[in-house]
Amino acid sequence: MASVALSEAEKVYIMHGVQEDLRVDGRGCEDYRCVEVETDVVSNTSGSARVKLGHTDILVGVKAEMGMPKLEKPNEGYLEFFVDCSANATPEFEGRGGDDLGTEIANTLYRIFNNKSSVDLKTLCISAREHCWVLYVDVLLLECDGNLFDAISIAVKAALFNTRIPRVRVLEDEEGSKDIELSDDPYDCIRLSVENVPCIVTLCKIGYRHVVDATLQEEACSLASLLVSVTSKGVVTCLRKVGKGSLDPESIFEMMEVRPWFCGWCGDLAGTPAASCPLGYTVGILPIHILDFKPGAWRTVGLSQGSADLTRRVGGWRLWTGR
Amino acid sequence: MAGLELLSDQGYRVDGRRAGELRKIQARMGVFAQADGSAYIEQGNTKALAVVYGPHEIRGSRARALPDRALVNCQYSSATFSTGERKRRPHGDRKSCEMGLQLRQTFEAAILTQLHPRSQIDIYVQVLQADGGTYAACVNAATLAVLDAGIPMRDFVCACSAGFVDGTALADLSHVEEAAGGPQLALALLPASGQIALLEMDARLHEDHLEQVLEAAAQAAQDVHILLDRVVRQHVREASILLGD
Repeated sequence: MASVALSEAEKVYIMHGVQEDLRVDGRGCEDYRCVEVETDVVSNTSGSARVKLGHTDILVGVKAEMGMPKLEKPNEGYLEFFVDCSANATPEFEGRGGDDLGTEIANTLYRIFNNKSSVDLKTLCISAREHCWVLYVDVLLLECDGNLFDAISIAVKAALFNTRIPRVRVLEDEEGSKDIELSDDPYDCIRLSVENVPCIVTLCKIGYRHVVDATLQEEACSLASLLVSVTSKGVVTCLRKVGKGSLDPESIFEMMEVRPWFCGWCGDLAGTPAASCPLGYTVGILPIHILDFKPGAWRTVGLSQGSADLTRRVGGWRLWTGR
Repeated sequence: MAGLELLSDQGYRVDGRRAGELRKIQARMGVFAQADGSAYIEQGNTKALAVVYGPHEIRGSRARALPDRALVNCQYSSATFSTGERKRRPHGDRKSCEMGLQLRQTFEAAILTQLHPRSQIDIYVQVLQADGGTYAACVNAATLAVLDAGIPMRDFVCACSAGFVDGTALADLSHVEEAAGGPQLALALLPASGQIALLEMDARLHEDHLEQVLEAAAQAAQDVHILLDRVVRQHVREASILLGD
């Protein structure tokens, strides 16, 4: 993983700050950085999204291609994940340098989607045992400033939300041979329900406390972190300990307490804009408020203090090109 | 080229451009905070990102260090979703390696490498969406990124592609025009001196027509230079306002 060199004194500074619930950038231990989400950024994909979380910058493209259903699930389509850690993010990823991290993230994505409720895979089936849609979810890391997993899971959710799969019909003639017909109307598309697509929340253990949304510097101070993937209803689909250090079981339960607290709120607050959210800029509102937006629209949701103006079009590719 | 008329009788191309007309170019410098230099460019629907790290100490084997100049290291990759059909690998295939090599040659000609002996300059380009002219877009983005990193260069490097259809040279080919299979010329130019940093032509073209195509590409590259120059000046103006000068 991309890393920074920190001196012992810098580490102590960060760790003492975390102890006092005050982080280097002024956040508390359970505050996220400002998140920017933009969908429909690459026009030759079925769905795409770009997410900026601090300086972490992720681009996800989803391509729908026709394939064969898997033998064990004849009437379902499937998702394929690929994570490209490009050298753009850090020179360490040049050549095959980013492959290990890419595989690790892709496998985590497979795991968090490995349940019946995340995505309704039956809608991806065209004809049982013969044809189905395969969604290739390609993640591209553009810049890396900590908390990759959370940012990637948000980007994947937003890209799946944006995905439009052309509607096809299977025609069968007298001899039993089948023909696939594509709808004439380009707007006649299937859209996926992303209501139950989980988001990852990474809790980073620093000293005796834990923080969410750690920056690269904070990740360097942490020995281990806990990765929890939760849906908006508070269902946990995956739990993983990552990092080279060890965690004692008690601290895992302590860290998990963060989750139900905010997920309960998320479920209740679904659909309300973050600006009017009674909890203000707390960590927990993150997954739901960004991603339950109205179809076709996107908005930037800031969760840190001072970013009250949430729906303005700031950041993103549009700003890059000045459009 | 059956079925598709690349150049109408009125002299318009498939996307409504004239023969020598460029697609819309939009660019921005300094898009990333962590890299030393970065730039993003859109040429029509072709979108590319370039990031520059360096000059820094040689990474990896010391034996690669050059005693009299800097080592220019380029990597080209193209996002798996950038093309119409999904690519299996973003980089490491033959085309990407070749593109990396070409970029390296182009920028070795332009960067004043002798000013940074025993050091390394990394240029990474990433195509996000490919719609023809990816090499040109990459070179243009990389130029802006190198300028953003403040690395001394002889001149801008501006690139453009050109093709030849029905006795007319077409500048800045789109994917449809490239796919038609006619001759294709990629040119990287140092615009102030008019020197050519890279020239490559595919397919066959009669010698008599070469000059015409080359001229079209060079003219287009000069036009690109005007646009890039504007982007750089705008960026410097914004940066100096932020600094409060």
